[in-house]
Amino acid sequence: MAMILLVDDEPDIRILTRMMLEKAGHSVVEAVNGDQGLKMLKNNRPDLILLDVMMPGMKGWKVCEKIKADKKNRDIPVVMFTIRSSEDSVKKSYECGADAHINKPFEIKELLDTIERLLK
Amino acid sequence: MRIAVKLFLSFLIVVVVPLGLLAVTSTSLIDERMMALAQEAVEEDLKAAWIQFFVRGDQMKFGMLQAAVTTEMQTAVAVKDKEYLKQLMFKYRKKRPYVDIWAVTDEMGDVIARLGDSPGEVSLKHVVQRVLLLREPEIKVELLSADIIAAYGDEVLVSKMARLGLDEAMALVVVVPVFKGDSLVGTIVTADMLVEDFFVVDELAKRFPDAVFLIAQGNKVISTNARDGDKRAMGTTLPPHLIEKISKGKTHGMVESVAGRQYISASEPIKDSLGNVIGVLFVGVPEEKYLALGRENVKRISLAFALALLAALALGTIATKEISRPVNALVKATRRMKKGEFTVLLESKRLETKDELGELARSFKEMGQDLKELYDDLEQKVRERTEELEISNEELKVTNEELQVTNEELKLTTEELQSRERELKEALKREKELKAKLEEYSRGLEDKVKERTIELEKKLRELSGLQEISDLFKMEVMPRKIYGNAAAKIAELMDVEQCCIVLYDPGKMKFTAQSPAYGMSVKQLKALNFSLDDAAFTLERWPGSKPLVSNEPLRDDRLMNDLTWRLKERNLLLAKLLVGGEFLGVLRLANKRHGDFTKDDVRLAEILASRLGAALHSMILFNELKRSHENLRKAFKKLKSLDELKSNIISNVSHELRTPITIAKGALEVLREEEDEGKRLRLIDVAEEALLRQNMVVGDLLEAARMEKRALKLRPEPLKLDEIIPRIVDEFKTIAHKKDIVLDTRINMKLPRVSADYKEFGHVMRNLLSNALKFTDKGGSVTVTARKYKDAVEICVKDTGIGIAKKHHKKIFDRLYQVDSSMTRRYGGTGLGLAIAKEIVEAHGGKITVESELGKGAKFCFKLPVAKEG
Repeated sequence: MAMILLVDDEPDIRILTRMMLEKAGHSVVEAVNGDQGLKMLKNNRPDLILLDVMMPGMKGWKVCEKIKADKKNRDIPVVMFTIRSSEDSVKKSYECGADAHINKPFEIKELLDTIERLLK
Repeated sequence: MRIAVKLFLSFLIVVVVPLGLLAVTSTSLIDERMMALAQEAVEEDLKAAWIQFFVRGDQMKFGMLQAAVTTEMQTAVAVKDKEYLKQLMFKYRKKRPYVDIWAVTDEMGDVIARLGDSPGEVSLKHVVQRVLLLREPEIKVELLSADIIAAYGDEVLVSKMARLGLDEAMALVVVVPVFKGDSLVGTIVTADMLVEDFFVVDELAKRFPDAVFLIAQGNKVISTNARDGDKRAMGTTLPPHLIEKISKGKTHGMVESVAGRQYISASEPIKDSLGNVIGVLFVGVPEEKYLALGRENVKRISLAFALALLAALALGTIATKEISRPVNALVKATRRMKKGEFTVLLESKRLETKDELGELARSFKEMGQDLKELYDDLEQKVRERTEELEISNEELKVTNEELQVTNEELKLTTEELQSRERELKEALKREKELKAKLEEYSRGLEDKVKERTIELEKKLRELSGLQEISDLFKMEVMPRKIYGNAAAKIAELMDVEQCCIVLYDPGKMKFTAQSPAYGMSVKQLKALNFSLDDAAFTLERWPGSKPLVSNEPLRDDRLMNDLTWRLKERNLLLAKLLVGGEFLGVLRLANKRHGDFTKDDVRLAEILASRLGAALHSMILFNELKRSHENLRKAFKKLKSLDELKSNIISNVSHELRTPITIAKGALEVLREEEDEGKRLRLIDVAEEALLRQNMVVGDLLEAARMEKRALKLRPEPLKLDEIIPRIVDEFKTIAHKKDIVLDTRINMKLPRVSADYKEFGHVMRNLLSNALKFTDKGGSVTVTARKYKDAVEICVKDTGIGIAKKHHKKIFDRLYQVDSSMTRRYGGTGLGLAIAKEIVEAHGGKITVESELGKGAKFCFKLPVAKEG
């Protein structure tokens, strides 16, 4: 199936998300913040990026902007994956170029369906 | 003597005498010149003869030298090859047939080879000696003995000598050295006999055909071009006086007879190589040739003289006639004029010449006419004058009478003049007096103008002062500077010793003298600060807007309650500062020594006060406006930051609340599908932990809310930390284990009890522990210590985590001013935890501190007071 880059500062969220995705047959690469995520992109090309917003250092939106500004990576689908559920936040997600916005807490089905839709 | 004769004689003297003298002199000069010419010519010829003589020598030397440098010659001489040398000599003689003697000697001077067949050897050593010594070629004239001639020359030479009766023969001798390499091997000797050798003299004769050349040996002529008939004049002897002269050196200019003809001569001795006179070279030019030339010249000069004389005589006669004729005519004419015939000249045509005489004659003519007119005129005048004189005589008589009458009149006039003079003097005196008065008046006027000018200048100063005061306020908003500058300026304008501005504060109902003032110390100014109650008396008795002037302030009852009397001024002027009826304060002017204030002073003070009041009012308003603007700005800024803080807190809190829910929810969802037992247990742990975290966040929030309402109520009790701390630490064992972090507790067993609220203490501990674990990576450690420190117990939680930058140390405890949400995320959940911990610790009278550097872990410590025993 697909290789997914998961960027989130919460270790427990990373553990759970990884379990869910692996169960669905995906392989997962983890990054604990935006900087690390961007570094990983230099040498790896995931099929999809799952990006938290509220992280220490660079916010998820900024990371998303940078990914989309890079010619090499701009076609990788980015899913914003956040607790910020206000309309303003959703708007920001699409403004930064993200392909989908999933609110935390989330349903496994919602996550997997979104990924599947984007990978087609 | 007649003038004509005189003229003719002077003409002769002027022209003929010098001409004659010139002729005589020039004939004698010609003789001398001819002689000099002849001598010059003969000298020239002598020089030429010598040159010709030695040209022959040089030719010989050149030929010999050419021979001497040939290898064949050198070798032949060196090996003394007689026959070969002879052959060589033959060869060379063919080129130079005039050379009579040829010989070659060795280096000792002995003859090796020679031309000529005569028997016998004659030494040539004396001839070649010098060349052997000096090793240089030599040209010389020598007398060669008959032996030598016989041995080396030929018979012809010998017979020539015999014919002339000579024992020796004069010869031009050339000797050149011959070298083989560097060494002298011999010489070549050649000689040209001069006896009956006509080459030299004939060559010279070609160039100088008139001249005779004689070469004499002793006194005998051995070569000459002079001819006696058709034969050469050979064998003749030179006269003894000539020989005598020549033996002393060169001669010239002597006239000698050669072969019957007279010659002007020059001669020189011929010397041999030792300097002996052995012969004479004689040159002569024919005397007759030069004499003839001279005679010819004299003839020409005489002819020229005769012609010149004739011409002079003819010209003299004509000129004399030309001059004397009109003169004679003039003389005749004057003689007739003398007789009264004034016009006689008019008829004479002879006098119409254009020279000076003609002019003289014309003048005479005019004179004649003039004289005639004058004569006629004079006669007429004499007649008239005689008549006039007769009339005048009559008139004089009448005039004399008149004069007597006039004399009487003059006397009267003098008296009148005297009286006039007196009147004039009086008038002058009056004028002086008037002038003095006028000057006095003028001075008065000037003074007035000056006064007026001063006044105007003062006004101008006042006006510009007012402008300056207004300007002060325009340029400056700092009250201190304005008070100081305004007081100084007003003092200058008013010319007072003290000036200060006293402002009234209607809120506090107080008067305050503003510092700095002019001419007053701070202490003096303070004495002027008084409340309205004290000043009311003065204000009551000082209604209206006019200034209050007191020239005796100490006795002025209007000022009873004013503190002025303490300052002991001599006079005082107070002007109200009013703006639109509002009382702002008082402008206070005072003097200690100066005179009283005048009406003008008061008026000016009033104007100044009104201006100052208006300006102060603007300034006060401006500053108030500025202050309130600044306050508003600050308030706005604070509000804005508070607003940002609020959104941040809300955002953080929502994040902190939802994250554990997300984790718990996700864990449970995964758990449902998970079959592996190990993983199931782990998921349960994760969910549990998330709930604990949730609980803590909620606790923080409640705590914060409570504190916000100032509802923190401590229930302190003595706590045994050595029991409580390990229990709390145990709660975090699971998390520590999961993150592979060593969780250590080091507590002094003899720790005294502390006085603290059990619940709150737990809250602080959990907060610190939770943070420590959160920011420490796998394999790190978290250590909790507790020890007694003076009257308190210090509890520390130390980790090896990521640490906190120094610049954030203060902010992490600050609930209100945590702005950076990412920092909040890093250092404590809601961002409230540490702030709450701080408030709790401080409520206990303790203090919480942090020691940390970025990347080097963190150590949070707080102190709690020891519980009092009993």
